[in-house]
Amino acid sequence: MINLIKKWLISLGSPPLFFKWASKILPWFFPISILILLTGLIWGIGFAPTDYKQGDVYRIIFIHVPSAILGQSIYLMMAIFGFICLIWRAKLAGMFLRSAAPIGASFTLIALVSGAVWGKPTWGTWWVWDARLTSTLILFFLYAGIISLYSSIDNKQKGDRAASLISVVGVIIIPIIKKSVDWWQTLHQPSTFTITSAPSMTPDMYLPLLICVIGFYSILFSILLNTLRAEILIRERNTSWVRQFLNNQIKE
Amino acid sequence: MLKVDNLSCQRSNDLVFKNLSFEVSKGANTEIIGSNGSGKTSLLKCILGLIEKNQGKISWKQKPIEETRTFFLKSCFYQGHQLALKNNFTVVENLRFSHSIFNSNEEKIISSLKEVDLFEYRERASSDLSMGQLKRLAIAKWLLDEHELYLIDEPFASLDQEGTLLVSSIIKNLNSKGCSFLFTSHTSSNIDSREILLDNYS
Amino acid sequence: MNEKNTLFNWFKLVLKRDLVLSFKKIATFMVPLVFFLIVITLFPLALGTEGSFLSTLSSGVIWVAALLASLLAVESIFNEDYRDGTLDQFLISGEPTFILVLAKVLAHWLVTGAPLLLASLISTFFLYLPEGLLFPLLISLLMGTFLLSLLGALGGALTIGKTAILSAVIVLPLSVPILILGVAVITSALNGQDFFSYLYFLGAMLAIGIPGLCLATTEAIFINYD
Repeated sequence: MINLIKKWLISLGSPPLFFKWASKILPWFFPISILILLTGLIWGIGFAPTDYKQGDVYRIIFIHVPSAILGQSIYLMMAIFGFICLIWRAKLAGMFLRSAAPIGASFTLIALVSGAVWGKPTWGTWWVWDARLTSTLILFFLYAGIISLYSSIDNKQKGDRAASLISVVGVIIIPIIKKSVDWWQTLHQPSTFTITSAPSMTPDMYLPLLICVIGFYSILFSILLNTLRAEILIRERNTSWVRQFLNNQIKE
Repeated sequence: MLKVDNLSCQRSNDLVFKNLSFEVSKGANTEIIGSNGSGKTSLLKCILGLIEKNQGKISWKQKPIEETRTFFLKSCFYQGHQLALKNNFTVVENLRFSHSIFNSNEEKIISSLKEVDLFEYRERASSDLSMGQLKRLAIAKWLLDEHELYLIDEPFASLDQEGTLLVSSIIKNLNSKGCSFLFTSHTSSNIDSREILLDNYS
Repeated sequence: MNEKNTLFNWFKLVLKRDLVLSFKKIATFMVPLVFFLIVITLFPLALGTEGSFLSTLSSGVIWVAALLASLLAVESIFNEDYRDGTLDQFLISGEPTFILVLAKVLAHWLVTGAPLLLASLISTFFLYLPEGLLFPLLISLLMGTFLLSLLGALGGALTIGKTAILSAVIVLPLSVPILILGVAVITSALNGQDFFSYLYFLGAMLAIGIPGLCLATTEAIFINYD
């Protein structure tokens, strides 16, 4: 059994096999993820009940919360794959990092922007120096740093490993950042805006939210599989299997 | 002593050389000759472990080099294309802070400076020296300590006739003490050595 | 020579070499110092010279200036040695790279961090730092700048052969806790609270950061080499 899992993991780690596997899954997984996402969004935005405190503005939660969750979990994934890339020098883990970082940065940015749009009508301002907002902003800067680091290194594998190292160090420091931002909050209390508590959720509100989160995750995996496929083709362009694959593509 | 077996080396997707095999024996010289970009520097760095090899085996005194890395590094001397000299240091300081000696032995420093004809410049800042003089200062480092193997990248570059003769005589002198040299150049030098044409292995 | 002695000698050699080198080249410790003082001067120019206003801002301004000055000075840690081939020599010396990193961080702190402490003394007069905050400011800067040197070394090692501004972009988000804790020490002293708890936390970060970040820096150097 253990041997079987090992074999499976090794086969996943090899770019050509992963490419084949991803190509098989994508054609049916991508439509399904779109379907889940649309279900969640349409239910949440069209049919979920109006919040009695905030009115219809709260519906931005169906975009804001999933993208904030994704922004954080992509960073965690990057750190895990970064660790694998550093220790076992798995090529695919490095490629994962490179494909995931821009996506993570985008979701964090979406979370920040949607939060600002949500904040304007509820708090009366685009931005509040609240602990959670500040940590998210710093997370966005961390993504930006990682992207600028690997894009400045010409050698792809070196770039992967440098980005891996900084994401592993970052994931260790992130809890310290969060904790310190909390302290900073308690020390400076200038905020005249009290953050209105999130709408208390009834099942017909959080069920669509849950579906939205699942939908966002599945869209993420579709995008990741696709960008990884592209990255594999670029990196392995000199190998015989890629040439063969491309020749077959042209014939078709 | 040093044995390279079937070595291949890659620099960012391009194979620079492949299936290279040779052996360096005690007190003998080996010369790596190749055009620009043929991988001379890569070969030296690969032996030292500064860049990773693709394939093949390197062994030092019958043991794989991975097992005896520290031991190997301590018994060899490397001079790269960059000479590892600081412009802000004086000539003497450059030798004093050279990595290979912990307890700077002033007598050794003075005698090696005399040997490369830089003794009267000893308190000058290294930035005042000409390129050829800097090269000679780097050569003075060879003499601070005797090493079993010298890996030298282009020892004859930017040296005049006199300098070339000096290097040749120093190499010969060290050879007689049992030191071996592995050095690179783009044309054959007139030092008694085994020549390896790297272009044949691309 | 026994093992321990050799390691210590190796540490001493690198440290001494870096210190002598930076005394030869005045710019190495002058530039961060002058940069710091210029940044400090810019704040009253931009915000006005009203005493009470400046004095509430003073500790934060000093900390931000110190952060920028010490992170922008990472060029001298690895980049120069990389360019002239000295780093190659260090790596193939057969001595542990971890010790090399440790010595270089200490040298960097002695050359940039320690003078910043003196400069911050001067800047307290410029910015009218409230009475009695000098000790918390200095002790928090003392610990904070060393942590910043550690982080700066990591950034410098990751960006060997590149610009210092890139390493600042990578490292600045990670330095947020240092800044917050450093300023928290001073703010809580101002409010008459016990500021030692924040100092202990800074100390704990140092205790983890010295081995942890040096290890990461060592790895970063090797990444840039093969």
